[in-house]
Amino acid sequence: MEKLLEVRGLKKYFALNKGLFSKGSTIIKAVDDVSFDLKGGETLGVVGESGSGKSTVGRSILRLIEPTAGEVNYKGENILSLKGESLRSFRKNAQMIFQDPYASLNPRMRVGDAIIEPILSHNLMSRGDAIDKAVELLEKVGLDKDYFDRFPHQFSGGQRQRIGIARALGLEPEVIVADEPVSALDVSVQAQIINLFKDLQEEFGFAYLFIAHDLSVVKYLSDRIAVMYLGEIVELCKKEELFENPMHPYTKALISAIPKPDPRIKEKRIILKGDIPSHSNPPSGCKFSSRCYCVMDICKEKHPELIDYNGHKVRCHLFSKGGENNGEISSKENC
Amino acid sequence: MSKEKRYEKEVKAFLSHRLGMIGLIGVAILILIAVFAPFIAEPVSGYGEYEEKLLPPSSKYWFGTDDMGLDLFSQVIWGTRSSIRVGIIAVFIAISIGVPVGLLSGYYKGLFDTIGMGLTEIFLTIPMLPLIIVTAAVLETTSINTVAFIIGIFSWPSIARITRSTALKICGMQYLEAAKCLGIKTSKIIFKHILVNASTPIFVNLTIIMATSIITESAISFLGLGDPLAHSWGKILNNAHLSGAFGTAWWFSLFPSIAIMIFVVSFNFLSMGIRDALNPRISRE
Repeated sequence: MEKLLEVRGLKKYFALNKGLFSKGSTIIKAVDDVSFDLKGGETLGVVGESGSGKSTVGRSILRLIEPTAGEVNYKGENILSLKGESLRSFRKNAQMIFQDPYASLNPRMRVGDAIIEPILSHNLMSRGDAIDKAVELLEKVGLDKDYFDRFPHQFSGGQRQRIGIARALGLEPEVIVADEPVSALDVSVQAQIINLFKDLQEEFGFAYLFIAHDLSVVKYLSDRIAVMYLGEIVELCKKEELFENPMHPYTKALISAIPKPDPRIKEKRIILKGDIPSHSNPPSGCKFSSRCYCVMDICKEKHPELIDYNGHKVRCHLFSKGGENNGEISSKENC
Repeated sequence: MSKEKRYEKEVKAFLSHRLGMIGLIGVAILILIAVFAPFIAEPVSGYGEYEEKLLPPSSKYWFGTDDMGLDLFSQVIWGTRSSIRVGIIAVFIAISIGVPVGLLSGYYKGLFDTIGMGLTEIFLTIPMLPLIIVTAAVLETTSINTVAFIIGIFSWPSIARITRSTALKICGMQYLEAAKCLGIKTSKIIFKHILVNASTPIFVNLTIIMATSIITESAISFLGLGDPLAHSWGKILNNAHLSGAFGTAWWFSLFPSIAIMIFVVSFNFLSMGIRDALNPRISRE
């Protein structure tokens, strides 16, 4: 499959002003040197704790916030250089599904108008055709066509999320960034929406960048998974590979935290100590070294690189040359 | 869930708001009086009969007569017309300056915000009454439109501030980020998303401006700086003061004062009703 989106060295730094009387400002590295590809029709899951920069990555790709540095190429065109009208017209190619379905719909706008508005704004079709299309989309996402004239406050969270999906689909995008689209919903509704995502992808063939903090949600949907920690990708590989052979200690800890439905399976859960460190004062060397249970001396001195082992990318000294395993994939338990 | 008309809930909430309904009825009556003034009372001007000066209220002169022997009832009725006219002009000017300034400041921020809010501060700190006195002195003849215009020029800052703060709030909402992401044109974002959602606080503020503009207009007229030819409640009070009849003829100052009070209270009640009806915390349970 062709590469739809190439992200290279994406950085987003925020300057935090200290106050009136102290000089200088602290730099917060929300996203630090993130690179990945997204192929047409595939789903890339992005997981990480809150504050790991996963939403910032999604928003930077869509130019909802301006990245500090890096490149985002959509079909070979660097979209970070787009301005004004060309940026606006690019937007129909990449859409976003938001986390909070209660906040992402204008309360004063009828559902139908909300779906039609972007279509008309891009002059994709006449008003009459747009209305027909909106009705069709409502039915596609599992809503009644009579809902066309209603206001958002008349709907439940799951229904609103469906409306948000219909609104994004109206532009027939090739990339959809879903920013924790189910985390605000009830568990039973979550499953329905996730299945809807899957069905729609099969029908329309767009690519997802699926951001979540819940590995089990990502596991179901994704082809590949990127694990983020403090603004960096620490592990990136195929889904099956990640779950069968996780390399990074952080990924292992995340996977061990997934609840198992069978109570007889007793697996040792890896409990990480402490909280995610402050962005303004990250640990030196490897950013995970302060919480890592496999920490070595080198981890506190040298920042590890993201190294590719036959398509399984990992950022950890355990696997880098000179590390404990000297570039070999570890066979030891846990570490 | 049935198909719901736009604002149906809000209208219901307003109809059950007692003070709001009193305000609405008051405002409706005032507007009717203003429109049908020629059918209610003959306009009076010049001098009346000498024997009829300062007569107390009677069946012939419901509100009594002034020091010129002219019917006060007619003057109060016709005063309604100029009051509403002043209010409408002032509100119109306040919207046409305040809303664009507030939207630009709140949406684009940066330089627009600095300039817009700087202007607002300047206008808020200039004392209105002395400036009107100076303007009236410079223009020599002040028409009622001039007075309304000056009031409007000084009323826009509150509209600009409210529009700006609402625009800032909405700019932080996710649905605005969604609109940007969907590639909606900036003009549409400003009008269909921000202005529509800001219309409630703006409208509530307009009714308050309507009420305060009448207090200002009365003050200006009372000081003798208003339009000498127009019928105005403030001018009746001014006449009462100048003629020295404040102490002796109670009806001379009472009825125009009551009219001012009804006007101000009606518009304030109306604004309270609208505010409560549109407040989502109350109307949406």
